[in-house]
Order: sequence, then C-alpha cells, then structure tokens
Amino acid sequence: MKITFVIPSREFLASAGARIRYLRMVPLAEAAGHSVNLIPITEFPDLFDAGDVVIFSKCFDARAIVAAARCQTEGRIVGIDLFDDYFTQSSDSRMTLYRTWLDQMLLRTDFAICSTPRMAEIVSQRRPDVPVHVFNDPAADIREEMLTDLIEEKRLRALAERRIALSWFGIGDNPFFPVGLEDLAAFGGRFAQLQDSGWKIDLTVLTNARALDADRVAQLARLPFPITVELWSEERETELLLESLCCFLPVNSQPFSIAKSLNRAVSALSTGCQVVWAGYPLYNHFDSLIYEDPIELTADLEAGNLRHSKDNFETYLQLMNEFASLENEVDRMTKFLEKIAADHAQTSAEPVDVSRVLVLLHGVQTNGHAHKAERNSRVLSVGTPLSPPTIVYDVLFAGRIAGGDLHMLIAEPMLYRLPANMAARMRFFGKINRMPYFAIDWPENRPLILHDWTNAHLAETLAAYTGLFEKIILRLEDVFGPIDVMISESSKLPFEPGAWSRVA
Amino acid sequence: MSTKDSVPEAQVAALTGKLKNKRNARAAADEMIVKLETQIDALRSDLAEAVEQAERKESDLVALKERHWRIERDHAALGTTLKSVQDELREVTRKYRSTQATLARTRAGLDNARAREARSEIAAAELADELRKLRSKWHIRAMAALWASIVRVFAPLRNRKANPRQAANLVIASGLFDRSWYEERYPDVKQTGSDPLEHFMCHGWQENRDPGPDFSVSRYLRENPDVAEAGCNPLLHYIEFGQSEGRGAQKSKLAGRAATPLPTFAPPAPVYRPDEAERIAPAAPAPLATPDTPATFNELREARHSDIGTSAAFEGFEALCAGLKNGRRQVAWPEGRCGMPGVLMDCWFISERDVRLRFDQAITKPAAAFQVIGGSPQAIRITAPLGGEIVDLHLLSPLQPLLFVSQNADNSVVATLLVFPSLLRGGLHHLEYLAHLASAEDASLIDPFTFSSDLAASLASSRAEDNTPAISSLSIDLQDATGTGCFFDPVFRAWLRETFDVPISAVSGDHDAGAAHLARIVGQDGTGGNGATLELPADMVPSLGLLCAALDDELGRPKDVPLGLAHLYGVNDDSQPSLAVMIPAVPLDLPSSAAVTHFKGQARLRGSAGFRRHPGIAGIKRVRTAALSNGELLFPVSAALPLTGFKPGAIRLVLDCGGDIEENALRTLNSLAMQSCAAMIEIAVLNAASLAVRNHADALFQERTFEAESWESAIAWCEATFCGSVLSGTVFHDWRTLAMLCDFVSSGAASASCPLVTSVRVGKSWSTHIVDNGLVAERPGDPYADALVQSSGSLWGCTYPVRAPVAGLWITLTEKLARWVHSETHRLDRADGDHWCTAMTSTTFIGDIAGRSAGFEPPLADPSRFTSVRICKG
Repeated sequence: MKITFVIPSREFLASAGARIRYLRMVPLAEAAGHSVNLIPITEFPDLFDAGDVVIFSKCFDARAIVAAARCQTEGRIVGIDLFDDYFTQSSDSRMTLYRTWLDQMLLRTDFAICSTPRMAEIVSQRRPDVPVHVFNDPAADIREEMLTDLIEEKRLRALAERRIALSWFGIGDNPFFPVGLEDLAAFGGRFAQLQDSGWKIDLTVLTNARALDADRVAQLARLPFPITVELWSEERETELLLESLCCFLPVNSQPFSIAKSLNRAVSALSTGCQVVWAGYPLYNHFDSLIYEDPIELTADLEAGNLRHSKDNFETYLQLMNEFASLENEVDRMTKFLEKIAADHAQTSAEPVDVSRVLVLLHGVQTNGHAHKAERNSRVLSVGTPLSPPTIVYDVLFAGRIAGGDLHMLIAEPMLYRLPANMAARMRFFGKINRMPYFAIDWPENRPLILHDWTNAHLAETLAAYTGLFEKIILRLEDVFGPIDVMISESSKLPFEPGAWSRVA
Repeated sequence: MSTKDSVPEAQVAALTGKLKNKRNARAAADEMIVKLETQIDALRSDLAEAVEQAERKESDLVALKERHWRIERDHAALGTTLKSVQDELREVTRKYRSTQATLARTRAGLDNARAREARSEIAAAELADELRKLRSKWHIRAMAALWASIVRVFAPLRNRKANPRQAANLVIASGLFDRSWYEERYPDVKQTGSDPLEHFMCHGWQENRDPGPDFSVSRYLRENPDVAEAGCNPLLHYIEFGQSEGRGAQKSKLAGRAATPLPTFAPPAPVYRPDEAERIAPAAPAPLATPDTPATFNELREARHSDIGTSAAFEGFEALCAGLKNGRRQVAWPEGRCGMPGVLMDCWFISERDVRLRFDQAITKPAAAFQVIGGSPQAIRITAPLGGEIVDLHLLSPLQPLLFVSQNADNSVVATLLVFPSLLRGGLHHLEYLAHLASAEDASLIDPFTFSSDLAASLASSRAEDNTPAISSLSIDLQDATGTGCFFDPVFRAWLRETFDVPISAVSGDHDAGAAHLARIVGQDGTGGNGATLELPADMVPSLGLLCAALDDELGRPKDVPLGLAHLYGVNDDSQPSLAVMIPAVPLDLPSSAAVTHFKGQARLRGSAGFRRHPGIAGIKRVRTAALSNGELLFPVSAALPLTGFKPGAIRLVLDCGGDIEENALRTLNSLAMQSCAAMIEIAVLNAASLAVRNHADALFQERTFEAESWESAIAWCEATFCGSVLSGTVFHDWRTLAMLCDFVSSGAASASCPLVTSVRVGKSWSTHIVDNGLVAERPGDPYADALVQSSGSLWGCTYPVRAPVAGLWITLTEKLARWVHSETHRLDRADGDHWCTAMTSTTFIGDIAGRSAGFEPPLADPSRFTSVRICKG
C-alpha cells in the first residue's frame, strides 16, 4: 500500500508533530511492505501517483478540500490526521475558519486518524460514520536496558545535593490560546513549598524563541526559585531530560490543551524523569508512575520508593507498550488502513455518481492555489459578490440578496455545461476581466442594481454571508442540477457559511 | 483822400501795429506759459520721482535695518554657537592633552622598560661571556664571582618577586598603605581574620582593592596599560618605578565614601549525606534571632512591648487564628497599628511567595514572622539578603495574614500585622489598593498596612452577630476558563474558606471534559448566609473590599436584579510601574444598563439583598500587555453617547499655545497629524504667538484649521459634535513616536492611556471602534466586538507612570462646552455619564505643561466616574 501524507510545507517536517508522528514511523512502515511519502500540498497537484491512501495533515485551506475531492473521484482513499483541537471552541469566532474547513473535509474523507481519544471524539461528534483510528505519538526510545540505573543515579544525586533538577520543555506559546509558558507560570508555584523543607529547586526551561516575550519572561521570573531558560533543540531536550530528576507537565483545562497527546509524558518517562503534573489530568493513564503533588515526590524520594523506578518497571513497560510503542502503533495503523482499503474496494465496485457538479465557492478571502487547482479538475469555480474581483470565475454572482435580485453570470467557456433549456435563456451581459459573461433571464430579476460589496461595512458583510451562500447554492442547483459544494474561505474573520455546509 | 481821412488811417495803422505787437506779445506770453507749464510738469514729474526715490530709499533703509538686526541676531546666535563650540573645543583639547600625557607616560614607561630590557640583555650577554670564560677555566673562585655578579644584577627583581617581606616593607614605608582604612573599607578581610597588608599583597591588588585613600589600583592600571599587561602589583610598581618615571597616582574612589556594612546571611540549609542513616528534618525557620531570643509565637507574645500597635497586632493575629468567620459573635477589631522596629519604606512581592521589606535603617535586632495556617500561627523563614535594611519573608501562603515581629533598641518585642499581604505590590489585590489610593482624599496617609487593617475591621464587623456579610456565596462562570485563574489554586480556595467561609459554585455553559473538571475543582462548601451571590468570570480575582463588606440594606428588600459592577484591569508584568484603572461604576438607581449586564465577562451581584450605596469594585483581572502598535488610542467619548458617525471634522480640538515655546506646539501638531483619526480633527489654534505654528497647522490640516483669539471664537460656528482641549506640548503616541517615551522616562513627565476609541486594522482598511469607558463594545453581542473589547481591554495595560491628570487635555460635547463657556454654568448633568477625560490617548507631556492650564477650565465630574490614574506608591 502506498500512503501519502500531504503536509502544509517542507518546513513542517522540522516540527514536533511531523517528527514524532511521521518520520519515526517511516522505516517500520516500509519494513512492513508499505510505502510512506510526505509531500507538501503545493507539490501535490503535480504528483504523478498520489498513492492508494492520501492523508491530509494540517492543511487548513481549500486546496486540501479540492485535492480530497479529486482523490475521491480518482478512487483513492482519503483521510485526515488531526492532532490539534482548533474545532471545539464554538464560542470563539477566531476558529470559524477551522470549523468550516473540518466540516468540508469530513464530507470528503473515508477515515480520520487522531492523536488522542479526545480528538477522535471530536470527529465522531461531527461525522459519526467516519471511522477513526487513534494513533498515539510513539516514543523514540523507551530505554528498557538502562532506565532503572539512570533513575537510581538521579535519585542519589538529588538526595546528595538536596536539589530537585526540574525541567520543562516544549513550544511555549500558541497564536490563539494561552498554553506552554503561561501554564508553567500559573502552576509552577506549587514547587515552592518544597523549599520550606530544605529542597533547592532548579528549573530549566527549553522553549522556542517566539514564546519568550517580555510578558512571559516576567511571569516566569515571578516563580520563587531560580530558572534557566534555553532555546529548544531536539538534542538539548534529550540531554536535559537525561539530567533532570523531574519533569513538570502542567496542562490547563481549555479544549485545545486537553486534546493534546501524551508525548511529553512519554518523553519524560522514557528518559528516567519523574513526572509531576498539574491542572487537567491529561496524563491519567500514567497515574501509577507520575505525581500530582510535589510533596509526595520528595517523600518518595527520601523513602527510596519513587513511582517511576525499578519497582514499577513492569508497569512502565506495559504502559509504553500500550501508548507509545512505535512497533505497535505502526502495526495498528497499517491494519486499520488495510481494513479501510478492503472496505473501499468493495464500495468502489459500485458505480460512482458523476452526475453531481463539483463547485468551489469562493468566499471573502479565497485561496488562489485552490482556484488554479480546480481549473484542472473540471470543478466549477463560482465567485460570490464578496469574492476578490481579480479572479476570472466560471460563474459569477453579483448584486443584492435582499429581494432575491442576485445576478448569475456564466462565463462563455462554461455555456456548454448548461442544460439545453437553460442555454436558450442566456443573453450576453458584457465582459468582466476580459471574459465574456452571459446572464440568465430569471423571472424574478429586477433591473440590474449591482451592489458594491467591496466597500461594504464589515458588519454588513458578516451578516450577509450565510444567507448569501444559501441563495447562491439554490440558484446553482436550479441551473446545473445536483451539485457538490466546496468552500474556499481563508479569512480569519468569522465568516460562517451556515449549517448546510455540514450536511452530506 | 483828405488829411482828416489820413489821420484816422494813421491812427488805425498805429493801433493796428500796436494790436499786432500786443498780439505778438501775447502769443509770446502764451508760448512762454506753455513752456513754463511744460517745465512745471517736468519738475512735478521730477519731484514725484524724487519722492518715490526717497520712499524707496526709506524702505531700503528699513530693510537694511531689518537685515542688520537679523545679522545681529544671527551674530548673537553664532556667538552662542561659537562659544559652545569653543567650549567643546576646549574640552576636546583638554581630553586630547590628557590623552597625550597618558600616551607620553606610557611611551616613557615602555622606553624605560625597553632600556631595562636592553641593559639586562647586555648584562646577560656579558655574564654569559664571563661564564663561558670561567667554564673554560673551571675554577671555583670564578664560579663564586659569577654567582655574586648574577645576584647583584638581579637583586632588585629578586627582592620584589621573591621576597614578600621586603616588598611589604617597601609598601609600608611608602605610606600609601593604610591598615585601618583597608580593614574598614573591606570588612570581609577583617572577617576572615587575614592580615590586611598580607591580603593586599597576595589578593587585594588583584581584586582591584585600593591600599589606602591616596592610591587607586584600578585607575593606575587603567592609566598605565604596560603595568597592567606586565601583571605586577601596581602599588609596588609605582613605589619602585612609577613615581620616578613621572607616573601619577590617583586617590581612591572609596576615599570619601562611608564603609559598606556587610550583608548578613541566613545559615545554609542542611545537606543530606547518603551515609547518614537519619533523615534530615525539614529545615527550621531561620530567623535573624539570636539563640537567647524567644522564638515561639507564645514566647514572643509574652515578651511583647506594651505599645498599642504591638498589642493590637498580636490581638488581631490571634483573632484571625480563631477565625473571624466563626460564629455570629461580636468581634471587635483592635485599634492601633504599626509597631515596627524602624520606618518601613517599602514592602512588595519579589516572587509569588517571597515578600521583601525595606526599612529606613538596618534591622540588627532579632526578628521572626508568622502566618495563620490552618487556624494556628506558623513560623516562616526570614532572610536578609541585601543588607540590614532589607528583610525577605518566605511566605507559606501569599494570602494568609502575616505577623512580623522584631525587637526595639531596648530589646522589647514589637510586632506589626498585615492581614491581607496580597495588597502589596505584586500581590493579587495590589490594584485594589491602588484604586483605593486613587479615590482617597489624602493618599499619603494610606499604606497597605492601614488599608489592610481597615478591611479587617470591616470584615470583623460584617461577621458580628447583628450584621450580615454582603457576599455570602461566590459563583464562578467557567465559560472560556482555562483553569489557571486563582479559583483553581488550592491555596486561594483555602484562604477564601478560612477567612470568609463563603461557598463557591461553578456555572458553565460548556459541556466538555475540561469544563467538568474545572467545575469539580472550584466547588466548595461554606456557611453561606443572606447576603448576595457574587458572580465572577473565572479569570477574575474577587475584591477584598466586597468580600469584607457588610450588607447595609436595613430593609432587606428583594432585588433580584443583576448588577454590573466595576472591575480593575492590570498588566501581568509587575516589574512595570503599574496604574490603577478605575472603570466607572453603574449607578445604583438604575437597573444597570443593558450594555453592561449582557456583556460577557462582567462581575455581577445576584441575590435577594440590595445595597444602599455602590459596593465598589468587584473583581480584578490581569491581562497581557499589548504592544503599542496594536491599536492607536484616540479619543474618549461620553459614556452615554456613542460616536457612530465618526466623520471628517467630527472633533474640534482647541490647541492652546499660550505661554509655550513654538517647538512644543509643532510637536503636538505633528503627533496629532500622525494619528489615524487625523482626518476627523479640526484644529482651532488659540494664542498662537508664532506664524510658524499657524502655517504648520495649515500645512497639516489644510482647511480644517483656523486661528482663534478666545474660547468663544474657538468654538463658534462649530459643527463638530465633540470639542476638546489640547495644551501645546502634548505629544500623542503611536508606534512612530515610541522614541518620545524616552523623553518622559528621563524627565519624569506624565503620560497616560485610555483606549476608549481604538483604531484597528481590518484587512486593508482601518476600522474605528468605540469602546465605551474602555469596557463595553459599541455593538455588544457581536462576537467580533467582544474580541475587540478584549484587545482594547489589554490596551489598558499600555500605560505608563503618571503623576497626575492634566487639566488641559479633555474632550466633551460641543453643545455643553458652548453652554459652559457662554453661561459660565459650571454644573454637570451626571446622569448621562459625561466623560471628562483626564487620561486619554497615550501621550507624553513635554515642557512645563503641568504648571500651565488651558485658558478655559471646565470643572471635573465625579472622580469615581472617570478613569483615574496614579503612580504606584513606593
């Protein structure tokens, strides 16, 4: 089986997501006789053979929707991989773009892969019929041979120096949510109580440079023990974790954070670190190995019965096997994909409904690459009154929506796609962007009053958006028959296309 | 013809002749007249020309005089410049000479060193030669001679390097080493028990310590790089060579300075050794106390001084241990405060758990500190890291009451009590303290200890038998909560339970696992009561004022109306001097405006009890600061009237230049023109002394500017809805004027920020949004507007220290201003929430603006109804 992961860019390969989820699995999947390919979405349309299974990862724009639709018509199996929750914050208008994208994508996917059961739940809530597989982030190395000695060495060193070498690592910020360093600053203070019993706390933070703005650094400085901040690198992370006695993993309770994978706890445990968590119990699968209260950690440290030690080593191996074993995860995923492929082979024997016209509706801010991609795949490119005027659309809607005077203009090259009865009603309208357009004489059309939406107030545009899309789709169905609509909307403003977009 | 006939003929002829002559004469006269007239005309024209020429000359003379005056002025300016240039030149020359002298000394030193090296080389060559000769003879006496000559040549070097005693003698003999001075200035040397001279010779000079008041090691090394390079003792070098080479010795910098006392350190924490069988007990609190000092709370209480402050502190602390919340009993809060060992200058959180106290004098006497933990006094760790006047307390809880105990000079125990440490700078409730300062009549009398004590008295009174606490329960709105707020901190909840005994419940619109988890954490039991329920967003901190208040409605009328309350916003970064921002309260006689109550993220009161007076600030919220470039802060508006139709010329600003220099007025105009709302501004220039200001205003604002002679004329024919005053020297900020901030930081001028109207870039265009009183979006309910409010809320964080609001910077409705100007009726109709702006767009005031005021000064509204600002105390 040839599996292609479509990723947002080549730079994405350097991110933790790509490194942990994809690059680690490639050798094992290939050893099992599968071919795994990672391709940026910009190069995907030019791909000679996209493979049997195409999985889209973090490509949050219309290009992925158009590519998924094309793959489906070509008989490929389409999936998405979801590992960040940008979808469930229903009251957050900044996330509208992501919610619309997910709804559109789920209509064109045969399965979904998620990093956690929580993410799987999100998919199931939106499309219960889409099969979901939880692919846990695998550990690079669980260090079975040397781990117990390493833990004991750390314990003795901590007791000798009466010092807790504490570490925190990871991306320190997020463009939308308070995470990372903000969690550390909010929960880090609970280690202060250890100082009352004579322990010295030394915290080392490894994070990205962008997160280290004045505010976050000032927040960190409020923690009542010394902190060393360094820039993150994969090597330094491993080095730090191998040196640290304990890794602190605070997690806040917002939806984005509670859907995160277990990989940080896995990394910490597999390098012989004790783990203290705070906030949301994200890592409760590892409860028998980790701590919530730092006082318990020091008590166990002095008593010589740490939770993550040779006494619990069997439990550790068992949990790693269950949640972080690369072999197991790859094996489970390939089996899942094989089953999907088998099911797909049965259903693909049935004739595909090609009568539906694929339509790409362009919103306020559309993706030019999606427009170009659909030119090659017989998708009808439809401009709305809000779309950028510079693009040459196959069908262009203009005018007001109040009272229904919405004018539908069809580009000359598309006339042949009209049913005969419709083609007879066309009259020449004029040239827009040098393209001759024809208008349909619609009974309810009043004399042409084109409303200039380019100068409309933002509030007016926001309010009109949903109703406008509904009317356009009704009109398109009247003219072209059954249609399959995709939406290209890249604006970060809360343009909500409406509930119809979630209906299969 | 007869004679008779001929006579008349002759007469006729004669007469004719005469007539002819006369005619000729007349013709000649006429000709003469014409000639004369022509001459007169010519003369007239000459005269006119001469007059004109004279006038021209006169004007030339005036121009010349003016030119002469200008030249004189320029000459004077040039003279000033020349003088400054000459001064600079003199300074440069002086530096040049000094550098040259240093250079010459250095060169001389180098030359001497080279000469010495050459002499040594010659001597070494001679010796080598002699040695070779002697070797060939291999004679024992020659060997002795050789040895003696070697010793003679290298004697000085050997003495200096190899014989410390001789070197020390040299130093002592020079008089530059002062043993007692050295010990006094460097007390650590005395503490280690080393001999000062030995210390200086072995380590001191290498650590740049000066041997005495008359010799500076660091300066000598700086001025003589060859010595520094050689790595020899600079004092020894100076004595042996430097002074003979003309090198100078400078006085020590410490010569005139008092000696620094040594910091006192707490004993180190015990260290665990694996081979020690016993577990180490938790480190005991390490107070500054000496062993014979009573260390336990009871012992200290017994030994306390009888002053009223100390007694009150101990009594209050014990009352808090017993729990003010307990029972409906009469609790009298003890009067009296501050039994301190010295004057407490400042007190603040240096981290989440560490409080630093700074006294005006060193605390040399023993000290201890206690907190109420679990209903009993617990000793806390004290350290004195930076010197005697600084004391650090490592708190067990940043919220629980704190008792600081020390000793007076007469060894009697004195104590002071801080019931709410969170009022200190860096604490959760510090903004509330600042707000209290802002509204107080005499802020200088209020320190956190006093305010804290007042609150405790109020708390005690509200828990008395015949009273009811204003707040009997808390309801936390978990919508969009992240679980990082204070309500999710067990320490905070324990403090709420132990101090106020209020039950907490959670309200959540979300149904995910995170919200359920948070609801489980937050909920806790308490006694409850008849007071109101305070509803707070999860990221807000309930105010102490409200938690300590008693219900004051005698009739207890049911009044189940949600009531919007005031909030405080503060920045997260406590290292910045922060401001209190008081957001206007909603009048109680109204069932709160619709805009306020339905706005998400508000604190509200719910319950069957009402307040006769406004209970004040309900919650404190901390926000992240936003960069100044995120939005340009423009103009405040009336609390009641939205500025929907913001159009060109919507605001007329009266720029009063009276008494200010031209440059300041130009900077004000420039900064106004840089604002994105510049198109909306009309400028009336008042008292413009210089043509340049008027021309510059014309150039920047074209037809939207005019000159006015008085306030009446400045607001005459004004079609703009709003009218305001700007004093010359007010510089409005945006991202291009950030450099201006440096001005006020260095000069201590005022600056303030108030994002009542913000301009935000939406796509390719700018959108102006009005945020009424910095809190409520003009279009409430719109999720985007909510987001804008969030962002502008954080812009409150873009604030800078201010001394006081400036009277000459405000804006109001034009019609009201006209009424005030003309009728001089200085009365405000407060029901409509007029907003007299004292702090508006981010501004810097340059020059002597605080000392001046606008020609017309309308009265200020109720101070509690507008944004107030005050510099953080301490």
